[in-house]
Amino acid sequence: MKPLKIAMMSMTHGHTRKYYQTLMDNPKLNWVAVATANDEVKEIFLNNVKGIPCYDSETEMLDAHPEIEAVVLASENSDHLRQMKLCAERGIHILSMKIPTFQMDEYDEMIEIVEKNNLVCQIELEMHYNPVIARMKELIASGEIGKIKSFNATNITLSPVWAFHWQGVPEKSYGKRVPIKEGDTRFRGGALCDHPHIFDMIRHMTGSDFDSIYAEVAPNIRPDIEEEDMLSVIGKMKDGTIFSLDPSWSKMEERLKVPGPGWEVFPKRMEVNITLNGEKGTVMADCFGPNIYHNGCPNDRYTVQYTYFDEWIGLIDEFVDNIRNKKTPLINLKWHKRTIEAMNAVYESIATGKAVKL
Amino acid sequence: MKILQEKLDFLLSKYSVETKATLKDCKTAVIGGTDTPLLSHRLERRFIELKNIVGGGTLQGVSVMRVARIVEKGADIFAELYRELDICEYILGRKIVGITAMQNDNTLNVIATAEDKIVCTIEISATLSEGETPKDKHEIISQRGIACDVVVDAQLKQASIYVFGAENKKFTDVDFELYGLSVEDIAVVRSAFTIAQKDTKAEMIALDSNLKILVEKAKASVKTGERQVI
Repeated sequence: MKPLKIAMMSMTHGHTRKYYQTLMDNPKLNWVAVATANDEVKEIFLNNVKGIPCYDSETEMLDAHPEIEAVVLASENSDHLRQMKLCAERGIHILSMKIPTFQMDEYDEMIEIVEKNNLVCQIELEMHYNPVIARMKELIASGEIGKIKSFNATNITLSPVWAFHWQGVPEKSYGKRVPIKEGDTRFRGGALCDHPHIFDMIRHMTGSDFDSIYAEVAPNIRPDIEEEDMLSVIGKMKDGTIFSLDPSWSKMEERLKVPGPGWEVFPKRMEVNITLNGEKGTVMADCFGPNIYHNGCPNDRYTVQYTYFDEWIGLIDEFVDNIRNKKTPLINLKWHKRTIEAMNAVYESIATGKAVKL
Repeated sequence: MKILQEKLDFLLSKYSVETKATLKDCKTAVIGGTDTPLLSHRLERRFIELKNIVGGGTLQGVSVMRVARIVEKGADIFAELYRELDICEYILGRKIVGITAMQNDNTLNVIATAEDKIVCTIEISATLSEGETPKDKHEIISQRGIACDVVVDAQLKQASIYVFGAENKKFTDVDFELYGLSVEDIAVVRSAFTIAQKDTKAEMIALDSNLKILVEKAKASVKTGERQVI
């Protein structure tokens, strides 16, 4: 198979660095170029990757490399629609970050652009390429615990806003400035916008869709950011499965400008744990474990050192396969729309204090 | 129950407590002639220490308390909710003021709000096989620190001793005076003893009454799908 000529745009998203190794190593890819959004991310990129042409402008890059077949939109949420249009004009396939947009009019426009131009637009929900998730799906399919009755999951991390500033700006993260609820000084765009995975995974694991959602926002553990960082979500799927989801930024961090060793204040920077309670029993899973532990440099703090972060290999393999063999991505814009609608319902529930029916 | 009563009598005698205390079951004792709810979980050392950490200033600016508890099939999930709501109120030192609950048969998920807008999430299921010990986790998240009764990067609590021999066994012994009893049974005996010693019958009865109201509110929320205010 001919290697896919791929590029990256913006390089401002927290997942940008996850692609470096895969784009260099995957024999199905030919990494052509990148376009950086500002000098800060340009410097970080040039310090990490050698030999890939780096441009200050997206159009300059696309003009200089008409051979580009696909682009990873490693950008803030508010840039996605504009960049999708730019790619679509040139017939370039798209790998979008996990939140294409929270604005549903923009979302519908994205679907229209992609369909009209016959493009592959895959959404980066990398948990589907995690081996623990693969085992969970297998256990569910084999009937190990029977029909699922409740799905309880965490997708909790430290806050990335100090390194990836746009995630702390409501207009860039959520798409506009919307108060989280009356009488509250915070705005939409925080932890929830960073953590769609468990909202997506419950749909895959139950084969059902959201019926009702209730959510509460808790006092921030970072009082100096203007978005929510702690929230809790419960609800029911159309098949009766109840759920409890925690998409918080509940792990405290050092305020590093570039993520690296010593980022953690709490020993563990990230967790995706899922508990499925079924007719015949319970399955508990830690999607990123077991790990190793140290209390070495730079802060001598006890720290969880992860041992597995290879989700981007499978994700890119699927992306190439989708383009070369004209397949629809597992996580495509249409599928993902209901996940985004559910996440918007979380904000609506917080704002109204009521359960939201979907 | 006989062994538990013997241990309770031992403590009452040792510490010269004159009030009579008789265990009816693991949830109730007749203390000084009055049926008294035990709320024995309050005497589990992990919860006492978590309460000390929250109330003593080790954690600052509490935001969320997260609870998960999985018990045997057939158990009453609302009895488990009663227990966990009390643990939240006990550890946080705050009253629950609002509750929203979703139920699917023997599974129950709850968001409760406490004073100061602290949010408690409680996930309960009765899905374990008969004889399997309950699995639970209690975590308090604050601006300055997290406290939890499960070690970081683990899903289940550890035992004190693991034996790998002809038969694999594990033990968790937490009380020298009451050596030989399980963690839960120790809490039952300690609770009855403490109520008798400190004469806190009235306080326990009031707590029980409040918890019953909370559980009824949760049941109402299950029916309506909406938040119930206390």
